[in-house]
Amino acid sequence: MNACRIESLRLYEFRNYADTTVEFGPGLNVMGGRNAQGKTNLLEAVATLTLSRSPRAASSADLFRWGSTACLVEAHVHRLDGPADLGVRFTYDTATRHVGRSATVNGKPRPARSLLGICPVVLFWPDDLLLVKAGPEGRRRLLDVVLSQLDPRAMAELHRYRRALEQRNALMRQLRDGGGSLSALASFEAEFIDAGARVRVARARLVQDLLHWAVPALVQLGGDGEALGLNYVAGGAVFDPTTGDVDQARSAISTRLQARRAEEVARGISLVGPHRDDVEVLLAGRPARTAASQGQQRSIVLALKLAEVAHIRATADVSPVLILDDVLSELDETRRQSLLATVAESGIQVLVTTAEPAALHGLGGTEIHFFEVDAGSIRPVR
Amino acid sequence: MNLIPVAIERLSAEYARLPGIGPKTAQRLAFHCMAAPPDDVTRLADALYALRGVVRPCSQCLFLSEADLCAVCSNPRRDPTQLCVVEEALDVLAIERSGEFGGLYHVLGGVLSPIDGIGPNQLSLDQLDNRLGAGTVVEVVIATDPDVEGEATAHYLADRLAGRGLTVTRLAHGLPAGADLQYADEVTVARAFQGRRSL
Ligand SMILES: Nc1ncnc2c1ncn2[C@@H]1O[C@H](COP(=O)(O)OP(=O)(O)OP(=O)(O)O)[C@@H](O)[C@H]1O
Ligand SMILES: [Mg+2]
Ligand SMILES: [Zn+2]
Repeated sequence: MNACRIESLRLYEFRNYADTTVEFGPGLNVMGGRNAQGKTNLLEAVATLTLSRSPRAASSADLFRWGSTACLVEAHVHRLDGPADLGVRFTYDTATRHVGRSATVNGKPRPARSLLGICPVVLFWPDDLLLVKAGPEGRRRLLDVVLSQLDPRAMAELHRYRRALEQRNALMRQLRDGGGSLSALASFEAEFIDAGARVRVARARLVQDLLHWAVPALVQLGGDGEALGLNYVAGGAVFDPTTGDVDQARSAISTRLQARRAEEVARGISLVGPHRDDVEVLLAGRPARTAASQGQQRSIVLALKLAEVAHIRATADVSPVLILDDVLSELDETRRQSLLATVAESGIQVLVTTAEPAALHGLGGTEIHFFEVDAGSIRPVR
Repeated sequence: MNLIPVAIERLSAEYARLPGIGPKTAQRLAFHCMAAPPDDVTRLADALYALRGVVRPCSQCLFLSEADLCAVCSNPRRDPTQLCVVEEALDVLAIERSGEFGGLYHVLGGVLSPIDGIGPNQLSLDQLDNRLGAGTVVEVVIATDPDVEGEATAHYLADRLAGRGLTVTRLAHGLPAGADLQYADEVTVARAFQGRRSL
């Protein structure tokens, strides 16, 4: 089993940590401790390092320990093909007032994007329990985080799309206010349409892959797996990647741009494109957000997370590290057991925080490492 | 109380404004200047001072020059039928290092970037139109970076130059997406030239 795992992690001036190093074991690592001691911050550090930016902080400046102007996260990662040392550092530049970011892989400076995929992660924050019910943003983010870790080209297209979107929005605000150049708009739209179409196709394919793995996962959780449906919804209509390709996505975006151009310019924003797409979750053909019970929705979310793990295992050359913040206590006994059993069986490393680690003692069949987090320090407990 | 003398603070602040230099490096450079032999420092100051008075944009292509025309424009062996459009002066150096291109250049002075308030009027497009109007140029090679702004600018130029009987090509393959021409090695730039495509 080619499980990737984090052997040691160092946090320097990160959130409420001054300088702390922790060594994790394979399998389940449980971080206990009272509220507000830094459990979530520790998991955020792992995510920040492996994804090259925090998936939670509004600005990277939030990551600095209060009063500090730099922070650093480093990890020694075990992979079957050899160990890797990852590092990411954020620094506040007083002259430009920007937060700069620099990354290292095996001690050498590398572009930050090269951190992604070396130690893939699957993230599960408490907010994700609402993934089915809440707005489309979280569902898009789920797809984008998986894609960025698995496929550098998809990551490049996402990046290109976001940049083209920003430029297009800036230009549309100028046009709305009587400035800007229409021919420049057409030039940025060419980029916008091309990158947008590629993002759309990559995401829609991923949705199919995730469904493939989510069905058995939902069955395992005691749910009705066969009733689960996932559709990628682009511009109000289902986009089926088995029949649609990049060319089709391109012309669809371009047609809708034409149709809504006047409205877009009047409002100064982009109303068309993958930044407005969604994943429709169905149970027995009905929207799960309204038709599924709260318990069913939780099972679906859990199945989606397990599907992420399974898809990464099947696609990448390593298994991901699963990061669970405070989620176990939110699940009932059956779902918790089912989740931990799956995880134990797959042999992947899991970093989990919980306010009640005692509840996990004596869990059969799994190697468990317990840690106590206390005011920005962490130590193993026996 | 400030421990560092004002003059050193001032110099580090100036260093810190330079691209690629953070506050720590800036301070180290400033301290280094203080400790260095006076001649070294004088030479540095002279070099900086001379820059302003001596170097200016070439009146034809806007590349750096010490005369009215730069070394490329005034070289009779360069092929005036080929014109390579680049973002900035440093890109000319990158392409010259590859040895692949024997024509003339045009430096745009940036790329379209609405976020930064840069539209067609902020680029040297009037000068470009004037040069093309003379009728000597047959092929325009667009060598903007392959990022969103560079691609959009290439697209914009292709539209603007369409219907003038010019061959318009674009550097393409070999340059990694999101790459900066200046940092590409010679081989990559050479390949990009060989693989240029029509727009
Ligand atoms: N940039 C920062 N610098 C210093 N302290 C910070 C920073 N950001 C957050 N904190 C503090 O870190 C503390 C711990 O936060 P964290 O969310 O990790 O707690 P936790 O252990 O997960 O608690 P809970 O069990 O309630 O979820 C909080 O009290 C918060 O005030
Ligand atoms: Mg927490
Ligand atoms: Zn010149």
